[in-house]
Amino acid sequence: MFKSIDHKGVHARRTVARFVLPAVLVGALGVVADSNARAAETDYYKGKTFTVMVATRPGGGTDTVGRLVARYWSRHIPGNPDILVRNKPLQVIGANDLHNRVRPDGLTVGVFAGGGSLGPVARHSKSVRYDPTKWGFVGSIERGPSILLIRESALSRLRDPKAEPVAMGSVNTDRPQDAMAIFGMEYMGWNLKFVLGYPNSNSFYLAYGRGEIDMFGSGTTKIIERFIKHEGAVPLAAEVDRPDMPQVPTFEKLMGDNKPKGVKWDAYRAWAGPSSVDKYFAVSPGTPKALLNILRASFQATTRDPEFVKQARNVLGGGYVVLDGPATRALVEGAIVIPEGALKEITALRVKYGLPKISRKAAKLVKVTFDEVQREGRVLKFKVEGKKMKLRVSGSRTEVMIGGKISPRSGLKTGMTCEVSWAKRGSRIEARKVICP
Amino acid sequence: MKFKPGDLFTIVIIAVLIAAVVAASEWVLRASIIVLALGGIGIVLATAQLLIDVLTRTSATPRQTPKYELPTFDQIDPRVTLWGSLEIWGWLIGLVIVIKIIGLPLAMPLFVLSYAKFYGASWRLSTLLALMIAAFVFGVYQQIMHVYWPESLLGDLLAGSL
Amino acid sequence: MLEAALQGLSAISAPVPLGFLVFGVLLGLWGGALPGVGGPAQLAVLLPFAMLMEPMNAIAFLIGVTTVGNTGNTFTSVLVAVPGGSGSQATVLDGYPMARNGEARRALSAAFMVSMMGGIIGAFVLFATLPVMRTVVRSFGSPELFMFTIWGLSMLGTLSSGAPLKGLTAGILGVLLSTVGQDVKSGQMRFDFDLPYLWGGVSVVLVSLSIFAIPEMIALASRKGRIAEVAELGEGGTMQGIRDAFRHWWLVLRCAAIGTWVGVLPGLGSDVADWFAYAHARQTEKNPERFGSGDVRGVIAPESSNNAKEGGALITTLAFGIPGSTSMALLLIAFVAVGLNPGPEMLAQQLNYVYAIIFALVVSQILASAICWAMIKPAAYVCFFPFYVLVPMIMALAILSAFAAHFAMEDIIALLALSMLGYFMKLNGWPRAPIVLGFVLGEKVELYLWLSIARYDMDWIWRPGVLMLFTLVAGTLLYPVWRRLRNNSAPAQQTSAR
Repeated sequence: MFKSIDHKGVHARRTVARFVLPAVLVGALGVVADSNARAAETDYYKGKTFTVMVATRPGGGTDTVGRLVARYWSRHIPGNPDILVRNKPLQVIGANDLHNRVRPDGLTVGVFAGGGSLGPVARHSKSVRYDPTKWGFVGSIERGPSILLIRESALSRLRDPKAEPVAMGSVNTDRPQDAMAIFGMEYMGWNLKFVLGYPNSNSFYLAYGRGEIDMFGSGTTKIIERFIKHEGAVPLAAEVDRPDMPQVPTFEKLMGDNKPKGVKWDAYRAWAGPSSVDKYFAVSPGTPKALLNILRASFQATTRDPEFVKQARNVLGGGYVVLDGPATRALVEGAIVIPEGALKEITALRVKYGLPKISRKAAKLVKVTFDEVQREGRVLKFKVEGKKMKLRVSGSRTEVMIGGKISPRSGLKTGMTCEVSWAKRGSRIEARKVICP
Repeated sequence: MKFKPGDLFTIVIIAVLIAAVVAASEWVLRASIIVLALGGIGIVLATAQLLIDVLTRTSATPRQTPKYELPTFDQIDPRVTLWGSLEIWGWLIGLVIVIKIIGLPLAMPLFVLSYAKFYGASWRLSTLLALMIAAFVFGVYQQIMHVYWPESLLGDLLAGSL
Repeated sequence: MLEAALQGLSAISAPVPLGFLVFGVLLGLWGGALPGVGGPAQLAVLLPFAMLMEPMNAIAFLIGVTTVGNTGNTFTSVLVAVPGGSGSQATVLDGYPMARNGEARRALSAAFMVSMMGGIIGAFVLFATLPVMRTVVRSFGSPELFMFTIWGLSMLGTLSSGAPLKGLTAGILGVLLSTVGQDVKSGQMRFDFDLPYLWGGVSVVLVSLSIFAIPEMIALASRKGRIAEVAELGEGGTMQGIRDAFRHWWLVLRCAAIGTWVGVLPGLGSDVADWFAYAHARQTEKNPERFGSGDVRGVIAPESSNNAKEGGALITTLAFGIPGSTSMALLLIAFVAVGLNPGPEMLAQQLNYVYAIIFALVVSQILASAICWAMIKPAAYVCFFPFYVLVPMIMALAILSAFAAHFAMEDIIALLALSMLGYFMKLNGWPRAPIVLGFVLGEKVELYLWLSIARYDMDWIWRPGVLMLFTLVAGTLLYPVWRRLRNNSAPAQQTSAR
């Protein structure tokens, strides 16, 4: 009457019903969802405006590179958004904005130069309100290691301490060529005098043409070739090996036996460290990974675009290299760490040769737990090494960061454990930074 | 010695220059030298001006005004000037508050509409002017320049509710 | 060379490039007439489109956009005392009083005529001197540029007649205002009050709006009247303006020369050309006491110089491949993108493009002036608009223009804060022009003094160029004194002769 029950078969069918079918269904849904997501990603940039925020005034090297990429980028981003290039007056301002003001919606990318944006981080500058390690890195364009160029007629004066010093032009002595010049003075007795304060590279190119300076540095192949060919300059040394200019010795090689060792050489590498990252593209913290990946892929495609390559060779010359996001991140993370000994050495050299400090050092951060927070975060009370402290928190001057984002002081609560720095302001003690997890 | 309300402005200028010099004295010389030098000269000049005004002024002394400055305020009753100035400053401060509440793109046409209407324009004219400003804001700043507008209370509320 | 010139001329006068030129001029005028929209901001937006064009079309378009902004600026400077751009600040000093006297048409007509004349003179200088300009530009170093800025500061006295102590103090305030932000040579943040907004310094657009435009609008709102204090515009203003331009041809030539020089010397900045020219006119013309109350010469001087500087600015960009200003830097990017090679190579191998640029410059100046002339009559009626139309519209435009400095709320706060300074200066009879001149020159004074000392110690004082310019400065300062002494002694001589 009854068919015999194939228990194994039933078990097998139940297994299929219980586990496999759902898995297949989920898988199918996943495929659908994935393709929907892909379609969503593809459509994400359609009809939108993608902003390339260049963290310098128009016309300089960073602006040129940013605009060069921006010109061809849209055609490689799915959805072909409109591209808008916007400028910020200072690297630090652009970096602060990217970290704290720009929405993490993948619609804005910042373009920075390593020296100007990472140098203040490496030196713990108080003007830094951003953390580059939290950014998403799209990629970078490295124009080539810097070459120190000198007027041929000034060569003889370089090692003659009795002659008129060779004038070295610089913006703010933060670049690799400045490191070479300083270490040349310190360890090879170069007869140099720094003329700094030129507002940008263009102005000291002109100053060279006027005979006002005899030496400067650049990484842009086109500039190097122009000054060698038309302006009587000769290359003295390269920051590191340049495959396109193998005849130019590296600075290390030039130093020969004069090369310092240990922490002093670390200082040379660290001086130029932040500038070892040339022009890089980054998005704000919290940008979804999917969007970051789109931007990375499109950036690579853009830099391989034959039209881009042709323009880049025309503008930058042939020696540039394109790095992807992860490689850029690795470069950036390496550039912002300066060993304490090297930092001291750099500071000592700056003082010795009368160079600008660039920025004021931030006060040391101390980890404290708030015993009491009064008046909506305006007053903090805690103990440090057994001593009671009462700090004012300014709405405009104190930088308050909670969970990695700039926050109002009202977010500070009793019992929170945060890192705090402070300074005297008139008769009161005021917090400079309050950083809470 | 004859003081006039205008001397207060000179005193404020002197105070600003002194504050600038004091602030600059804490900087490195390279950065402070121009402020110290010119600020010092400015303090001397402004003080001399104040002393000249206060000590030599008589009822008959004409107002010292640069030749090219438009004598806009001189020709009107000072009370009218003061009240009129306070009015327009009130409008401007109100505009800033409204910008913080509803945002710049909405606040500008609203300001134009309400100011024009308040002082006698017809509804048609006021609306036309407001629409012109709105067209400029949305056409140029929004569509062409793709501006990121400053945050506003209304914008935050809308973003929070979505 | 002739062949290259003919090639350039025929290429740029083809229908398509000419069409792009007209389009560029219209955009440039529109951007110039609306405060905050023109100049580098407008160019930055248009650049991506220009970079996709054929070279001749790109040249025509970009020259049209870039070089006519100062012509368009004049409308707002004259009619409503809002400097439309940094090149038309000085125009306000006499242009606006002319509008108030019912002479708006005359002011605008004279301005457009001399803008065209000045622009053509600048183009001619570019044409005639490009091959030799490299040598000339190279002979002007930081010490000579410093002396130029001192020449500019010496004009503070000229701009303060009637209130010399106040004027000089205002100039000093302007210089101190220019120090706000980061000092590159020392890394020091100056007067930033720990506010990141101030690290990049104060924008010149903000300063000129808050010192001139807002106080004038407040004054207009206070008295609840109209700009023009006369009942009618008066007939014949447009033709009178043209006659004025030719009558003062020597002033036009001198001011155009000043403008060209300011444009040629990279690093002086385009903001100073009109001030130099205005102050020079005040120092050298007869009856200088009339300046500031609606003298047409006070419009002719700045307007002829601010267009002439465009030709001068192109010299450095084309001859060296190095831009002297933000606009030129953007132009250079576009030129390179379309295949041009500004610099020595361009003069050797792409001369036809160079001549195309020069011809485009001439045509754009003529075209811009013609278009603006056609708009004088309707535009001049703005002076009769009631205050409740003008005040909110101008205030709104000024606020939006200031906002365009950094696209931050702080721009608006800064505008109103500085406007209080401008307002109280006006209320208390403090001259305002010196503060703006001090601001535009301040950064340059400090920079070039510092570079001169850093490079040459104090030996720079004895350079021939410095000594020559020192003579010029001294002459400029002493000439009005000498003239006054001569005028005072003339009646005495006549009396004794009798």
